[in-house]
Amino acid sequence: MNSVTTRKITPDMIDPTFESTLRKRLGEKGEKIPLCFQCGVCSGSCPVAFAMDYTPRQIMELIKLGVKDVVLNSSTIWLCAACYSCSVRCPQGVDLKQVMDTLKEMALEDPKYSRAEKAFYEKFIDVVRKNGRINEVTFYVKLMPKSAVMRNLGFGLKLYQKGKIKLSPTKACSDQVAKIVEKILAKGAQKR
Amino acid sequence: MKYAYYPGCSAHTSGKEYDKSFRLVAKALEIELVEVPDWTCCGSHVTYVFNPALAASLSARNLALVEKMGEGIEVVTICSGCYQTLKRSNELLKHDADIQAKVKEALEAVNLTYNANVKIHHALEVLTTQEALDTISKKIIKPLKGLKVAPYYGCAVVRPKFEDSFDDPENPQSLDRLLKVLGAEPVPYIDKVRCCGGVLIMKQERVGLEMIRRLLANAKQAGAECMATPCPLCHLNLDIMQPKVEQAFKQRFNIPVFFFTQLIGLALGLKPAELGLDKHMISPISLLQSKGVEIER
Repeated sequence: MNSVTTRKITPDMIDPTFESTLRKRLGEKGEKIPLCFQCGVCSGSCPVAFAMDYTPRQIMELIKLGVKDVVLNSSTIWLCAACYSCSVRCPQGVDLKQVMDTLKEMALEDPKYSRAEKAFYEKFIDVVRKNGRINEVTFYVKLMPKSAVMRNLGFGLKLYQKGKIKLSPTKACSDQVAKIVEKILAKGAQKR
Repeated sequence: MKYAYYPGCSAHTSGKEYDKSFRLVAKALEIELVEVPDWTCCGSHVTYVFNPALAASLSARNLALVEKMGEGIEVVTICSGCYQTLKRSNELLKHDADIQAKVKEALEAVNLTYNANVKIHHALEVLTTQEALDTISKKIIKPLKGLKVAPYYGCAVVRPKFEDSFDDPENPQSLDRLLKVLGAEPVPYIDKVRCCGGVLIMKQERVGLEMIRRLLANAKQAGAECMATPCPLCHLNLDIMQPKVEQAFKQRFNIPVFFFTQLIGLALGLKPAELGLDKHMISPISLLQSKGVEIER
């Protein structure tokens, strides 16, 4: 975090199909990717750029170069908070928020890129599948290591006293939701 | 006016007082809300990243239920995340054949069909139409005179571009206009649509805390005594996490954060306790007393 990235890009790191695969997945929105002229409005607008290893502008150039491993291993795609600052302001009409979403999607499909991140998404969906609705506490306890949960017990107690959290899961029609989840995930795993 | 009401999951947990105050305000303004029976998670942006067809199907289940509530009925939600997700799903279901096919099949498994005809609104949109503002202004009993508020919209409610977006993505005005009608003073707030970090607070706590810190610091800098928001996740970050921010950066803010519906409620003469003002981590009570709002014990 916050360190200047000096990794050298060598020809063997290039995947010539990366950009076209991404463009195809983005459909109409993908057609805008070649229009990026590296002005950096996205990076200047991004509220999380300060914490990223590559700024959004750099990611755009890396996409065009086809450096798949660097892009899908970057902290950028996971730090992107999906706030649309970049998409709203891009003078070339690139929907960079959607590009980031699709990069996350691609990374989640390949354990090589997302071992650490996948749990967040899988556990969220698991809570929804089991309960029909999401409850912050159920999700938090499922996701976090026990030590983190213990560290936050005092804080949690305060929230509980305020009535801000519920300890038991919030349930509704979980049988129907489970059917929908199974129907979609059974087909071609996570392919769109 | 009658709407189907989709509260969203946070309405039963961290955003309880938002749900409560919205229902009371709607009632006072003669807006009838009928809760969508057996509603479930909208899918949320989290699922969209994992599998768009799954997210769209989870949204579609709820929208199908709305469609069954009666022809032409429109749905309103208080959650900016749900608003964004439901709208995105709806547009995909109109224009994306691949998603349409997958969703249709998923809904068939639970004996539902959805024709993508439901209109989706946010509570901020519904309560800031000219008609709503006129009604509110006629019913004000206790104007929020002298209350300096940072209008904080967050990103999900105004930033994404939809076929029928209701406010400007960069410099929205609906909440500002409402605050003026209530007698309060919206301060010029540079971060009104800047992201609070959303779920980063769970994934990367330090990064999330820094994003929240900036929003609080700039609100204070702008002369705000409190903030108002239409988003439960923003509220969670700004209010619930505020003590953590203060601790992490050794900076004191003590800025109460209201759901915008609570401020409408106060101006309409509803009681602070029924609006859930006692639920906040940063108590707004002494601020309100200093502005002449009576607080019953």
